[in-house]
This record gives sequence, C-alpha cells and structure tokens, in this order.
Amino acid sequence: MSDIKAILSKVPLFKQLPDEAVTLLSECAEEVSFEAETQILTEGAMASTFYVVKSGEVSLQVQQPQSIPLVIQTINGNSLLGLSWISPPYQWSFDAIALDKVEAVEFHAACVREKLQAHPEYGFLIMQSILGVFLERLQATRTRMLDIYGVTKEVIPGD
Amino acid sequence: MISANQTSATIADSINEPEASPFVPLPYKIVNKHHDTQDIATITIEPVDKAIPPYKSGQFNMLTVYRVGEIAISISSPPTSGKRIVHTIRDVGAVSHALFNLEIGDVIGVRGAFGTDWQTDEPGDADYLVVAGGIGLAPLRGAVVELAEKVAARHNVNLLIGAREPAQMIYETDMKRLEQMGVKVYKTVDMADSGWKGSVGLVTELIEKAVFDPKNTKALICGPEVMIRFTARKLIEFGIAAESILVSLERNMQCGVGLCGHCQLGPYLICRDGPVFPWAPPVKDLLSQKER
Ligand SMILES: Cc1cc2nc3c(=O)[nH]c(=O)nc-3n(C[C@H](O)[C@H](O)[C@H](O)COP(=O)(O)OP(=O)(O)OC[C@H]3O[C@@H](n4cnc5c(N)ncnc54)[C@H](O)[C@@H]3O)c2cc1C
Ligand code: FES
Repeated sequence: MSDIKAILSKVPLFKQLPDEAVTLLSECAEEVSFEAETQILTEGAMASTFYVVKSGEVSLQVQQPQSIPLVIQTINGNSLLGLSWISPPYQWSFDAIALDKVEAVEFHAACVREKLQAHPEYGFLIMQSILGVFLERLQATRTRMLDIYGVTKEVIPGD
Repeated sequence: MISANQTSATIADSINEPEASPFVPLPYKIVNKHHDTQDIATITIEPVDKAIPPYKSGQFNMLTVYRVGEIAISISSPPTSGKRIVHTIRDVGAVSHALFNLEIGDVIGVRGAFGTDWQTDEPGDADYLVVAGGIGLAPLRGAVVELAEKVAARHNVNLLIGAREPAQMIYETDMKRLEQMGVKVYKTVDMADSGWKGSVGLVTELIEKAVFDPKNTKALICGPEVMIRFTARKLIEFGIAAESILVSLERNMQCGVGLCGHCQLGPYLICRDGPVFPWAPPVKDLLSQKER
C-alpha cells in the first residue's frame, strides 16, 4: 500500500470507504506541510486543491474593511479543509491561515472530480462521506447562531 | 460526633448547638470579589458565625440577598477550601443582579449545601473529560480542581470550554494554574476576530483534540441544555459509555429541599435528585422533550 493510501485509510472521514475508493483518492493526493501563519487558501482564488488536515489548526477567516479579519471557524486534526472545489464556480469563499505548523494531505481537485465521474459507484460513496462534513458544519453553524450561551427567556403561558 | 481533642468549651457549644436548619439562611460575609466578565462576578464568602455543613463538588447553595430574594447558585470552590466558599454569579434578573452588585464586607444568607454531586471525591482510575459551556464552568470549577489534585498526575484530565466570545471566558487566571497541575485546557468560542488564538466552533469540536481512552473515561458536562444534549451524543459517538457521563441541570428553585415542587423535571425534583444526573433514561429523554 502506498504511504498516502495508508494515511487516508486511517482518516475517520474515509474509514467507511471501500479500498478501491481510497485508492482513487490517493492517486490525486500528496503530503504537504505549512508553517504557522501561512495563507493556505485565498478568498476569490480558484479552488484547485483541498486538504485533509492531519495535525495543527487552520483558521477560516473573512476580511472586513478597516478592521482585523473575523474568524468563521477553525479546523483541526482529521478534518476537511476546502469545500468549494465541489461545484462551480470553484472559487474559495474564505481565507485559510495556518495557526500553527500544519501537516496535511493535499488533493488536486480536478483530478478528484475526474475520478468521481469516471467511477460513479465509488464517486457516490466518496461524495456521501464529504456530504457528512457539509451536514456537520451546517448543523454546527445553525447551533452557533442560536446563541445558546445567552440568557434564556422564560416563556409564560398566555404571553 | 464529638472528637477526642475537643475542649470542654467546644463540647458544651456543640451540645447546645442545634443542627443547622436547611430552612434558615446563615449569615456569610463577602471577603473577596472579582469581575470575570461584564455580567459575571465571582465572590468568596466566609461565615460570620456558624458555617453550613461540608459540601461536595457539584452541589449548590441557596443565597439570600436580604430584602431582595433567594436563588440557587452552585458552589464553585473545591470541598478542600475550608469554610470559605466561592460562588460565581451571572446577572440575569432581580436577585442575581443584587448579588452581582454586592461589595466586599456585605453580608448575605446561605442555606445548603444541597443536591447531588460530580463524585469527584472518589474519582477512581480513569481519564476525565470535563465539558463546560458559558457559566456552566461555575458548577464544574470545584470538580476540576479536585481532579487536578487527585487524578491529573496519573490520567488525562481534559477541560473543554465553550463560550460565546473571548470576552465571555471566565476563570482566566485559574486556567494557567490548572495547566501547571497537568489539566489539558481547550477553549473555543462561537465568534471571534483573528486576535483570538484559540479555536472557533462548537465545544463538541474540541473532543477531537482531547486525549483520552474512551473505554476508561468519565465525562462531566454542564452548560445550556442544548449543548449538554449535543455533547453527550458526540461523546457516545467517540465511544464513551452513556453510564460514564454525568450532566448538571437547572430549573427555577424555591425551597431547595424537595418540598415545593418548583424544580420538577418529569419524575424528579432537581434540587433533591439532581442537579447532577447520569446521562441515562429518563433524564436523557426528558431533556429532548418540550416541557409542559
Ligand atoms: C442548581 C442550580 C445551580 C445554579 N448555579 C448557578 C451559578 O453558579 N451561577 C449563576 O449565575 N446561576 C446559577 N443558577 C441559575 C440561577 O439560579 C438563576 O439565574 C437565578 O435563579 C435567576 O434569578 P433572578 O432573580 O436573578 O432572575 P429572574 O428574574 O428569576 O430571571 C431573569 C431572567 O433570566 C432568565 N434565567 C433565569 N435563570 C436562568 C439561567 N439559569 N440561565 C439563563 N437564564 C436564566 C429567566 O428566564 C428570566 O428571563 C443555578 C440554578 C440552579 C437551579
Ligand atoms: S426547589 Fe422546592 S422541590 Fe425543588
């Protein structure tokens, strides 16, 4: 088994996938690392790669005029970094900055898209795994919007 | 019980002294006060005369602000801190506002200690995951100090804290001391700018960072009930047994001793059967249902 395939088969996100699906992914992937403060993704740029973060933490940020950037979310070990490569216009919506040294697996998006189309039986399973990440992030975002740490307003019947 | 080294004067005192009534507040003086955030303050109190009986981490007191009212507030000091007790108060309404505004030297009434506890007096041989959301760290503070003292040298003790924003983090000065004692502290907030160097996201996302053996881990959770539900489910996904998870719940209270029924949750009175419960039915199911 190639090194990269061995790494991918241990990532929880891909653990349920059949061996053939992991092989397809590994053919489009390589190991990379980023020093702290490196800008990994840039808002508006082509989403030609995406990553599985193995260690370290990445901050997803949005620039705001005349102020310091806002952090949307931080991404750490075993998580997927970059989702905009999946559908057109293949452009990043946020900046991604390494908060500390980051070890990751980099995927070449065009290569992955080609493999998914050429092998729909595995393509579906791979997309199902990635959809799980979308769902989890959507639910987390909705929960954060609830402001659960705020003061609960007591509901008095009839009010 | 009278011990052998008591003097005749103290023996006479203890014979004449009636048992502290759970209905009569004992006067305590504020000896220290610290503002944690804009709307959260931590006070240290000590008895003016008689003290409440010994307590355990996770229990609560009923605090009276004279001429204003009485509310339930968790004990935030570990049981080892003697007669001094620490309480952390968030200013949300009439009584908590009055408590929040008291100063060093002011006197309040204290009844307690009431309710069930985190069982950290006998923590056993296990890793610990302590998960706190917002002011939910207050009922856990004593337990974390106990775990730092009794467990951290032998097992992993992880403290996972979630808050709305960095300025809402409480006990910042405690954290350094806990880390020195071997507790691994992880923090996350719902929103921040890039000046914040911790994580941004749900407190459940910190579980991935924590170091623990799921087969031998006990978890303590306190915070808003939505957060308790999500965290307990996530811990079970990570392989922690439901019976190893304890949660602390809150309801409006009046008597604090199981008489008035104000704090009812299904078949339970939270002041008597809680506030700390195992994450098991029916508590687990009651938390997912709309209360009527
Ligand atoms: C076992 C137990 C332990 C507690 N420990 C602590 C503690 O350590 N520190 C602390 O600050 N509080 C704690 N509380 C909550 C505290 O008792 C309430 O905040 C208090 O009763 C509010 O009374 P009040 O008169 O200030 O406000 P009220 O006038 O009764 O309420 C004002 C507003 O605050 C809301 N509110 C009431 N309680 C809460 C709450 N718990 N969380 C969010 N919003 C609320 C009400 O719905 C209302 O909208 C605890 C409660 C229980 C049952
Ligand atoms: S507060 Fe009275 S029964 Fe619980």
